Amino acid sequence: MNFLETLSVAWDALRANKMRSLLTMLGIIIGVGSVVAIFAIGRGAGAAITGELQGLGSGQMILQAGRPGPNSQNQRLESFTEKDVKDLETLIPDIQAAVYSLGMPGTVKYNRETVAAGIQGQFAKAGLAFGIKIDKGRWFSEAEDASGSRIVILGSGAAKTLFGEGVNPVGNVISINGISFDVIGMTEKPTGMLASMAGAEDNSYYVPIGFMKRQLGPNQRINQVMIKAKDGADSKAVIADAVALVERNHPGAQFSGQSFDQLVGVINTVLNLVTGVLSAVAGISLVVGGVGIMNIMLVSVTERTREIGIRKAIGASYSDILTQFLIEAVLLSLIGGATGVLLAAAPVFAVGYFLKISLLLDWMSVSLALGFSAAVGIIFGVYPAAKAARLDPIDALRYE
Amino acid sequence: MIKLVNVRKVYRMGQTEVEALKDINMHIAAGELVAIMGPSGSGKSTLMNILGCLDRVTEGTYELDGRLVSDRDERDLAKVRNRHLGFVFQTFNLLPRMTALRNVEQPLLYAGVSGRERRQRAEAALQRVGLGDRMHHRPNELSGGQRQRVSIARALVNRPSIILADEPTGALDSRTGEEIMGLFQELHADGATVIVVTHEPDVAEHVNRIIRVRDGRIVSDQPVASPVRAADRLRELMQHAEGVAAGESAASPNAVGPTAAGEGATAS
Ligand SMILES: Nc1ncnc2c1ncn2[C@@H]1O[C@H](COP(=O)(O)OP(=O)(O)O)[C@@H](O)[C@H]1O
Ligand SMILES: [Mg+2]
Repeated sequence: MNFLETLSVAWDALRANKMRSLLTMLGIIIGVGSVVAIFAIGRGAGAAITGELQGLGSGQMILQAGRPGPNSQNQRLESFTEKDVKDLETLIPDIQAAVYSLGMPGTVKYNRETVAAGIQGQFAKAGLAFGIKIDKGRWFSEAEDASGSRIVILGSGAAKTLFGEGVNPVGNVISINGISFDVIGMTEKPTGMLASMAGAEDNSYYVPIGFMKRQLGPNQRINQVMIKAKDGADSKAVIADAVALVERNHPGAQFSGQSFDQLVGVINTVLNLVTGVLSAVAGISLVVGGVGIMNIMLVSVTERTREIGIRKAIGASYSDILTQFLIEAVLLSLIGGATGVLLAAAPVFAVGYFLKISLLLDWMSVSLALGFSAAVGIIFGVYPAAKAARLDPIDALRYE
Repeated sequence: MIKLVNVRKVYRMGQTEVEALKDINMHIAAGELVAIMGPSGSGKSTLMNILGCLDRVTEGTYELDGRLVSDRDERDLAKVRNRHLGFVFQTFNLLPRMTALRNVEQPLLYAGVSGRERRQRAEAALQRVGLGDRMHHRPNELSGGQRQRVSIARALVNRPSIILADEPTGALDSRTGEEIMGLFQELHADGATVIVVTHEPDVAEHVNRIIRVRDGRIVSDQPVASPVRAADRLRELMQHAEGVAAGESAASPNAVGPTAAGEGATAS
């Protein structure tokens, strides 16, 4: 019997028991639907997060005193020195900039608004090197840093707190710990999925580090050094060089570094793991669906024993009957799988729309899902089909 | 064409054994019209199933068209059933959800006949059995006689050389049975070998040779001198019915009886 004929016979058989076929498919529909949805959302979110983080911090790394590990509590934590920072910039060719920041708690006042906030002293070059994006006004210059000017750049969130939404704060004067500062800029509101999910705003107050040094006095402890590598530099090699250099400056002490790219890798690994585990759980319902198909196919074989006998009497061979029932099972699981994909598409696109990410419901995962459904149909359909094909024609014809 | 030598068939059910056929020897040539007769339980169906390659002998040999059936494998036997044999059952055994046409198309599907040709051949077969106007009816929309015609159309659609009918008239009234036997006589006249199992003497009168079976053995094997022609008897039946109607009395259930006796010198 040719394939199309077998297909139409199987289709007729499924249609004869519409409700039963539908209920049988349900397991597969749910299984395939949830795997496809989880996969699409997981992969889409992963790609979006990676893309965003890379845009934010590609080529950035952090040096810290001490090394992470089981004995990290007992380590002597050295402070970085100004010399370390200068050496990193001058002696390692792949480093474009090395900076640190100094922080202090502050009381910020504008009109009647009083806010407790963290004040960050930053190098002028940090603005460019670390991609702090300015929405209104400008970042400060080397000269302003050197002279310790009393100027401040407000984070978007900080500006909103003090001046309200949509107000340009540039040109106003605010008071930090009783000292007056000219507001010369405001940063851009963070965009993208991460920010919109966390509702994050930049709540920093950026002042020139020259001012901060005078305010806090000399020999402040420097806990972290931020490094920006040149484009195309190998971040692992840069970290190794940087750590070696700093450890040479501080004999006996240990330092370590981490690149942003590594961090992205870790996040991705975790995300993939979560997606994988969730998919596996959803995949169990595929197996349950498969068992449902097997069950109904066994019922069907029993019900149609006489039909099988008739077919054998008029010339059906073992393989004809096997194919007929196998195709019936595969048709069940495949239609279930296709329905599952269609049902998954809706939530996938909804989530994509709200999180503003492009989700990956591509042909690859659709064909994978359908292939998987077909496989479930074959695996769970083969036993009932073989049972049908093995029936003795005489016994089958006698069956009432 | 068909040659059984020392055939035994034993059914085993747990500890007990039933010897359904005991030492059957039989030869049927191409183009014969044969009846196998015997009381219920004598082994007629068992014999038919073996002839139809649906069942295998326990002992002895069955040669079909010069080849031992025991030498053929499963796929080969399916092909033989499909191309060389046509089955007609007492209970019709049609597929209930399909139209008459689809039912008749089924053997052609397994023969790999496709599309238009399949449909044309199925239609021709249905026309041949007089059901040209019932092709799109399902079995439950047809009378018993019409169902049996569909099943005969299905049996002959692949132009088999042998037609095997196991009590084909058993579920039909005598008039319809007569029509069915008429069809078999036509098929025989066209060159097919037809083997009919029956326990009704009236039915057996239509064939050229009667093989009697009892307790799994052949007890007699005789030619029939002048078989009844179904067409003739049908005409008589019609006349008789008219006569009865004219006499304003209900048709007697054994109306066939006297007519058959009147027909005279058939087999005993
Ligand atoms: N599948 C079977 N299993 C056991 N015994 C059977 C089977 N088929 C037939 N028989 C026995 O074989 C004998 C012949 O049966 P069967 O060929 O059907 O007779 P008939 O068709 O002449 O009425 C009977 O005694 C019946 O009980
Ligand atoms: Mg019988």
